[in-house]
Amino acid sequence: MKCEEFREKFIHEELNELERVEFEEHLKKCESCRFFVNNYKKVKDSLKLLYTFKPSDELEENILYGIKKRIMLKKALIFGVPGIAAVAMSAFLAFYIVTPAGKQDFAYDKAVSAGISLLNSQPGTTLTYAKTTKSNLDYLLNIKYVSDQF
Amino acid sequence: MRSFLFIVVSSLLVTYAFGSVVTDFITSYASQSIDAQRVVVEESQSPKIRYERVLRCGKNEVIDVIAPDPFEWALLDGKSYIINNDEMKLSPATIVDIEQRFVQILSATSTVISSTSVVYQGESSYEITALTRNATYIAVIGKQPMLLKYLKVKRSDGTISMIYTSISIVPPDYFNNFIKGLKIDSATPETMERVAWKIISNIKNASIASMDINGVTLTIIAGMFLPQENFISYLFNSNSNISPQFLVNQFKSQGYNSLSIKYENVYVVFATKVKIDDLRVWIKKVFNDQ
Repeated sequence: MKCEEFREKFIHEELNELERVEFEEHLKKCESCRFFVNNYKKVKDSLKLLYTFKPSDELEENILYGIKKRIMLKKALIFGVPGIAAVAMSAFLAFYIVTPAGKQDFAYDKAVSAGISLLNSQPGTTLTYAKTTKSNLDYLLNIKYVSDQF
Repeated sequence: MRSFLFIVVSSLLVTYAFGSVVTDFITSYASQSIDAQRVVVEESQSPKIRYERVLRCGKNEVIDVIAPDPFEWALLDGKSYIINNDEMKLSPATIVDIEQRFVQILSATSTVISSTSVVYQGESSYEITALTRNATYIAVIGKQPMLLKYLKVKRSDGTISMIYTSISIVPPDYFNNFIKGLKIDSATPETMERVAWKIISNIKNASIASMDINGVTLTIIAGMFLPQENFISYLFNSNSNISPQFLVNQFKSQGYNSLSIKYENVYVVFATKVKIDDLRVWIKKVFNDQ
């Protein structure tokens, strides 16, 4: 089955047992489908909450606290889809960015080295960064995601 | 001859009916004020799924993307804005809402349109099909009131489906008061934003980060600009004390292809394993003449 067929059946819960196993195998190989399924689950969870659940004030407070904590953790650790190379790069960046810049050129060398790590990694590997390197332009990725490409 | 005349007359009547439905819908759409929720699913090489709240007054709207990642934007008098807390600033790129595109398509004289009566979710509705050179639009619109409830757009490279899960008609003041509560910044987006957008909008798997090195901020954008080819770029202000040539030489000394360009007051250093000529062609396409 093609990606589109898998996704269509997955959304409509029409995968039979054999197809479900096939799809799970497919997900191990196909990053695009994994990304789709993860986002679909997030949307579905939001819809479920909207229609079936009214949280108590206490629970709402706990959820907000959890979200804040998660955002802080996300900022601190990883941006985007993690991969082995991405994690390695994150550690690499974190180490060198916090290194005191005794020699000015040294820091630039490391910026280039970070780029080279990415160029050598698996195609499609996501750039990751340490806490101090969140870009104030990352909303541009949101624009790309919400703009219908037609 | 008689049957031929019958077909011609019937076609004219049917066309008039179609035209009437479409005209009524376009007129109604321009005066509607709604607070609604919808799910948008895009099936393409880069599949997307979003759950959004829509606050719309005519063709002006505020879209609050609830999931997967919260993000709020607005379309006011044809201009796209980004909303952040109580501030609204001009977007460096036009944000396209497929629903608004559909209404434009309906108004275009070259669009081939047909319409039938259907029952959608238990309610008497119209199904409108619009054909353009590149796409087929299929929409379900309620009869009373004429609210868009479902839209599917098919193209050779994918489909977009948009399903409204709830729609409430609200007074126009509801929207106007919301907008009045926002501080509007209509300043032109900075060059750095515009350059970053040019790159991001032309690559796959885009990611962005920044590095502060000795007081200088580098914006780093990575992604794939050809199938299966990674690519990285460094953006910084031309008045900073970084030499773009220094970065280019560093990449070259490691066996990579690299070059730099200056776009207004921003330097961009590119590096990749792809042939330098392919990189030049891509840059020319993205930056037009550089």
